[in-house]
Amino acid sequence: MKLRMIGCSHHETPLEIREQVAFTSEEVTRALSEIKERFPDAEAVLLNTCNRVELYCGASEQDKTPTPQDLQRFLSNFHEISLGTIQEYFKVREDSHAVEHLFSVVSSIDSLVVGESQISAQVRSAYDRSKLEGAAGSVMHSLFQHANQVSKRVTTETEIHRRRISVPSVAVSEVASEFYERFDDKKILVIGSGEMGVETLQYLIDAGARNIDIVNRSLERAQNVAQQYQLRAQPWESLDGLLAQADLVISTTGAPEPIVTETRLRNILTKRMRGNLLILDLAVPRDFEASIARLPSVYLYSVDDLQNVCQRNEAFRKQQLPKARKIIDEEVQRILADWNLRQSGDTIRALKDQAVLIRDTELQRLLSKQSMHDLSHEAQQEIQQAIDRVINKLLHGPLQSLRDAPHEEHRESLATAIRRLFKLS
Amino acid sequence: MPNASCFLIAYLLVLVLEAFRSATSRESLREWLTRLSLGMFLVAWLTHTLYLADVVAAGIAQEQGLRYLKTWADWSIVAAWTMALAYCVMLWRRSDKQIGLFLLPLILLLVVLAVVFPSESPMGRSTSTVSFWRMVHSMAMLIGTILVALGFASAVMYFVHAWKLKHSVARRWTFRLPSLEYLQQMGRKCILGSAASIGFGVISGAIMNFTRDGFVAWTDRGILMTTGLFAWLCIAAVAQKISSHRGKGEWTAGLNILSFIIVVAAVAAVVTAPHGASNPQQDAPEAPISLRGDA
Repeated sequence: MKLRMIGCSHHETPLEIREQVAFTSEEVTRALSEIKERFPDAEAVLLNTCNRVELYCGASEQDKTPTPQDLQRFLSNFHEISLGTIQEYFKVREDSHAVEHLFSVVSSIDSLVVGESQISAQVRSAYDRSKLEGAAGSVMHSLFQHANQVSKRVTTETEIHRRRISVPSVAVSEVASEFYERFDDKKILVIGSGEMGVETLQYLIDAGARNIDIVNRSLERAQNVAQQYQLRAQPWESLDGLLAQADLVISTTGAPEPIVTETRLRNILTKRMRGNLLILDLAVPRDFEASIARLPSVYLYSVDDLQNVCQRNEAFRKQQLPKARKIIDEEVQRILADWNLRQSGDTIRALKDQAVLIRDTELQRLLSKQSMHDLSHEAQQEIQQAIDRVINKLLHGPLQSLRDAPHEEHRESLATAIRRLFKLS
Repeated sequence: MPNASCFLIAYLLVLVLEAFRSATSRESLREWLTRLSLGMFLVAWLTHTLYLADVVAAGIAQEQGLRYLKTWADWSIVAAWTMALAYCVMLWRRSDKQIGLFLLPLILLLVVLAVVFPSESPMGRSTSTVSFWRMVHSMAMLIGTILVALGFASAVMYFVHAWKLKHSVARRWTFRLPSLEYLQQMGRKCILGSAASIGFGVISGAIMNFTRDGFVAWTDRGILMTTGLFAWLCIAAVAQKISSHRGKGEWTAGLNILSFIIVVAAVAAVVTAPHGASNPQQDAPEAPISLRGDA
C-alpha cells in the first residue's frame, strides 16, 4: 500500500500563492476526474480549505501511485502556474508522514486556530466528494474513516476544542454565562450592527436568546440585520429606554467617543426595574465610559478583558497539544499495522490458495489412474488428508515467521520474499 | 460500625481536597482532585448513612421504632446528613463548581456540635399521637433550618462571585461558582421553602402541645423564638417577592444571611430552653439511643 500527499498550507505558503492554487467547487470535480483519467489505478482525495490545499493519493501497490513529480506537474498544469512555484511551496509527504499529517489536520492541531471545529467536517466532506466522483476506493476509505475516528478521539480525550478563543464566543459562553443560566428570558440589547455585533448575535441566538433589540445610528442597517435574524430594530433615540430594560448589553459601534457616559447611565439606572446589568463593550474605542464599572449592579467588560480571556484559552488549548500528538502517534501506528497485516494477510491467503490448487490438481491426477479406481472413499480421504498434512507442515514455517515478524518492515520484506519465492501474483 | 469521628474526618478531607482544587490552575490536576474529592465525599456520606442506619436499627431492636431524633445531637447529625445529601445532588449536577467550599463547613459545624456537645437528656416520650406530631414537628423544623443554611451558603457564594466578577473577569480565577442567576434563584427558593417548612413546624408543634397538654405555652422561650423565626421568614419571603421584579440578587442574598443569623439565635434559644426535653413525670424511663460520637 502506498500513500502520497502533496500540499501547501498557511504555515509556509503566503496567501497570494494559496489564492492561485485554490480550487473552486467545479475545479475539484474536474481535478478529480483528470487524476482518475491519468492514474486509473490510483485513488485521490482533494482537501481544499481557505488555509490549505492538499491532494492525497494512494494505491494498493507502490508503482501505481503517482510520483511526486507527476503530482507537481498535474498541479502546475491545472492551475497554469510555474512548476517552480509548486515545487517551492508544495510539500510532499509519504506513507506514515502523510498519515500523520492528515491526522494532525483532521484533529485541528495543524490549523491556524488550534482546536477550531470546522476542519474535521471539511476533511469528511472532501472524502465524501471524492467518493461521489468515484476517485476514492478502499485505500482512501480506510484512511479517511480512521482520520474521522482520530478526530473524535482527540475531541473526547483532550480539551483542545473546549475553550472558546474568539471575542464574541468568549463574551457569550464564558462571561455572560457567569451571570445567567439561560438567555431565552433575558432582554438583550445590541448596540451597533457591525461585524463583531453580528457575530455575537449568532452566538447569543445559539445560546437560546430570543428577546433581542438592535439599535444603530442608521436604522436601515439595524433593520437589515434584524430581518436577517428575525429580531427587532429600534431607533437610536430609544437607547436610554432600552438600556433601562436590558439584562445584557453588547456594544460594537465605531463611535470615536463613548456613547454612554457614567452620568447618563446613572440617570438611566434610576428608572431601571431589573437586576444586574451586564455590559460587554466590544467596541474600540470604547462605547461605555470606563468609570461605569464602579456603579453597583453594573458589570462592564471591555474588549481588552475579553481578549485576555481569549489568550488564556488559546494557551490552554496549546497545552493540550502533547496529549493530542500522543493520540495521533498511536493511531498512525495502528493504521500502519492494520495495513501491513492486511497486506501479509493477502500473501498468506494467496499462498494457501496456491497450495490447495496444487493439491487438488495432483489428487485428481492420482485418482484418475486405472490402478486407483478400486480405491474406497475412506482411502481417498486418507490420501487427501496426508497431502494436507504435508502442505501444512511445509507452509507452517514461512507463515509463522510472517505472522510473528517483530517489525512492520520485517513483515513486509518477508511477505515480498514469499510472494517472489512462490511466484504468487 | 462507624462512629461520628469517621465521617467528620472524611468530610474534613473533602474540604481540604476542595481547597486544593480551588487553588490549582492545572486542568489535569483539577480533574484528578475532582475525582478524588467526589470519591472521598461518597465515602464520608456512606459512612454517615451507615452510622444513622446503625442507630435506627438499634432503636428498632429496643422496640422504639424509628424514633431517632431524641437529642439535639441526634438532630444535628441528621441535619448534617440531609445537608450532605443536598450537596451530593449539587455536586452531581455541577461537579466543576466549588460549592463544597461553602457547604462543607456548615456540614462539619453540625457534626462537630453533635460530637463536642452531646445532649444527655432525651426528648420526651409520649402517646403515639403525640409522637406522630413530634416527628412531623421535628422534621419540618429540621428541613426549614437546613433550607435556611443552604440559603446562607448561596448568599455567601453570591457575594463572593459578584465580587469576583466585579473585579476582573480576565484574571484567572481558579475557583468556579454557579452563575449569579442560579445562586439568586437558589436563595429565593430557600427563603420560600424555609418559611413554608418552619410554618408547618410551628403549626405541628402547636398541635403536638395541644394534644399532649391541652394548651400551647406561647410564652415558652423555644416556642417564642420559633414563632419569631417563622414571622421573620414570612417577612423575608414577602419582601423578596415584592422586590423580585427588580431582580436584585444582593437583596435576596442579604435576606438569606439575616435569616441564617436569626435561625442560629433561635436554635441557640431553643437548645438552651427546656423546649422538647423529656418530662420525667410524664415519660417512662428508658435507655436513650442517642447518635453520639461513641455510639
